[in-house]
Amino acid sequence: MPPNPPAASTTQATFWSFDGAPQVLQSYRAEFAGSRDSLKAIRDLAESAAAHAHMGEIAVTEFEMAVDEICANIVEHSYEKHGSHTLLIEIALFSNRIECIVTDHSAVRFPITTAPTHGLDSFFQEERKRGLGLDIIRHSLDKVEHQWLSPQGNQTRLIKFYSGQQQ
Amino acid sequence: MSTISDNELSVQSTTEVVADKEVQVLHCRGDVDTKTFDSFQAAMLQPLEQQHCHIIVDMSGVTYIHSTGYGLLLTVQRQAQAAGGKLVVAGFSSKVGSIFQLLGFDRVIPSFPTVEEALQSFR
Repeated sequence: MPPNPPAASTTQATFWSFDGAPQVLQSYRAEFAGSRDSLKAIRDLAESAAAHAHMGEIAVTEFEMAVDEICANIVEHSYEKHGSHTLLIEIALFSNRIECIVTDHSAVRFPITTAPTHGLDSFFQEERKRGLGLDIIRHSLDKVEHQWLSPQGNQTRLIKFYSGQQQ
Repeated sequence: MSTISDNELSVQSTTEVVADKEVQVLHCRGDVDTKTFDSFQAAMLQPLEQQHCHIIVDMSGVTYIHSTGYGLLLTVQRQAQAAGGKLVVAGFSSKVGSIFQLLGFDRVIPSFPTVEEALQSFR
């Protein structure tokens, strides 16, 4: 995997960015209001990008779901409780994978990479009512990375390799 | 017939009688996501609140289901079973149905291609 390019300087210092990144075949970037009203448009963007990568129907839906779960978590558990900001969605298509970076201005850390999961099977066996979203994210993606943008904000990087491609 | 509606999700409820059982059919149309979940939940809980424990969720008009929606299906199914009935789903599109199956929900919630076939399962 190519090294991360220097973070682009915007109104918020970020850790990851696709700006100037080598080997990006196509990229998408949009900033949305951090509310539930934006979730469908975010899903549409993710679905459209994944479809352009000629991913299969299930893979497209898995990618769409993972992006939606991340954004919904931020809106519901941070923005609606501690003040809303925007959600920056950046998606890049590479020759062997699709990546999405979700950048928020949340006051709450969402260290998704260290949050405990139980697995989908335990969701049925233990009659759990919560936590399925995290299981879906882990199930749907090949790699998830997280950075906390001190003093406020998360960057979550979602990576899904195309079927049969090298990881 | 009753209707619960959100800007991007509507659920219409109808009643069918099969083998002396009153089966509530919930016809859903739109996306089940964080924005529309409250409406979806209200519609899903209504049959049990009205003492109906035989439920078919018609998903033929549904284009997306968030994790909380899947979780709610499971919760209502367990409550329906506890009341002596069951919940089944019908009419999934290939996109949504594939995810339903991939996540393993087909192991615990019966799924049928059409509402008509789902109704037969209550005989």
